Amino acid sequence: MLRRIKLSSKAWAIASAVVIAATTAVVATTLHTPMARLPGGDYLPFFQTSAGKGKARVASVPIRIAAFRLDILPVTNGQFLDFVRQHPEWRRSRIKPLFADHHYLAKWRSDLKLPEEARAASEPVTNVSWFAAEAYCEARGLRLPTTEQWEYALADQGRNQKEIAQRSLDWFSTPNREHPSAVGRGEPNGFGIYDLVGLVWEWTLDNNSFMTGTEQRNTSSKDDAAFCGSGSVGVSDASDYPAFMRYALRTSLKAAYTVENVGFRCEGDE
Amino acid sequence: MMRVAITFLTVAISLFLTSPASVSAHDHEHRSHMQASKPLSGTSIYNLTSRWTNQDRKSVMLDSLRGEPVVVTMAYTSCKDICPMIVADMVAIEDRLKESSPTKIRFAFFSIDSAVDTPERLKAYAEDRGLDPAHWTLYHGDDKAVRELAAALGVRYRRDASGGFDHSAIISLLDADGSIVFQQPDAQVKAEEMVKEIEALSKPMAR
Repeated sequence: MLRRIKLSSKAWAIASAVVIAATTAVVATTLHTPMARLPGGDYLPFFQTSAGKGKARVASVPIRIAAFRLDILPVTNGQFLDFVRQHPEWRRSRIKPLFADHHYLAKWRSDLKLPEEARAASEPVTNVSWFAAEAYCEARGLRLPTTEQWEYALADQGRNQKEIAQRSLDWFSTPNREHPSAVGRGEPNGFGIYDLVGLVWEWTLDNNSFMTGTEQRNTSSKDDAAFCGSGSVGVSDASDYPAFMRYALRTSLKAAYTVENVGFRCEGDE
Repeated sequence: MMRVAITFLTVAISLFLTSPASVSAHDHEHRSHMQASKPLSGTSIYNLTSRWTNQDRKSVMLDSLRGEPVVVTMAYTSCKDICPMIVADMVAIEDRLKESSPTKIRFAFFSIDSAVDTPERLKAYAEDRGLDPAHWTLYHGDDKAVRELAAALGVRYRRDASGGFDHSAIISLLDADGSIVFQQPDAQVKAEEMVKEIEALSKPMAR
């Protein structure tokens, strides 16, 4: 039984890698997610850039994103299991509290045992902290994508944005399922990337960049005393509710938090 | 050779200028060495393995601060906003401690501006502000080192259009092992409060 389970998860990985390699011309190993190459381009950031304290805010201006590579799928439990096998310090029993809270890999049966392995191996890994996600990507010679890169991938050069927004809204209004479905089930976007919305939320490298809301909890008199500088400024499109949701979530997460619907994917130089 | 001589001179001067709260450079390093055999607490910031360069151009790991409590902030030298206030608050804490008791404590300034805040610039900043080199260390790190430390300390930061940063104004107190014991999150620092925490730390039996 065990052997069959192992085979089937491997078979899935090989099959998906073959299909994906055929469509995106990415050479893939069975262990790691294939990556898509994203050409550089302009991207209009959701948050307007502050011009410095005391100065008028700057309206959003497009910023240039350099070409990069991005995993076409979120990292799975199966892949993360391989990682902790090779890097024992990231196993559940050994993780340092500095790097992850006590929900780290909470759904796993033990250090090296997934729940219902055949199913879980192809589902996105969740309950991982920013530190653990970074360490995983680093072990592959990669990084987490910056928030701008991630949003650039989602913006997909303007393709199907209405549909993406609607899918996001549908997702927000659906209660969390007991476990997320397998990665790569839906349609890829124009860059060949799957599951940016609808499966799990994802860590970004500079998750700790944005300062709306929670940072201001402790200030009673002066709203902007909590941070040096002007804090949050305007947004480019106030009707973009899904974008507010994404940034609000990023703001609410601290690097050691492990949340059951937050996973990640990795990014690399072109 | 020149550098050796300067280092020697610095050590000699810091030995000479011993105030109740001061620790000589030699004593400090000796202490960290002694503790190195004991495993670090899992909550210690010193579990981060990034390298930093201090204002004397010495490459160090965070655990070089191990052995005494440390008051820590992340800021940048060209900041004209709240940062000067944060540093002034830390100096106020330092002054309070000198008056009250021979508490051993260090002060650390970690720059979030990897591009601009070179060790030389940090040194000039420290001298300009009169930061006592016997207590204060200022650190330059690369992007990754800064990002990891900020993550561990819960500091948020983001570059703005003028080349500066928006960043959380947080002063953190680390115990001798590098674990966060107290944080003042909103730049409205009350020196007395921090001093009380530091004094409590130096009396472990009472805690």
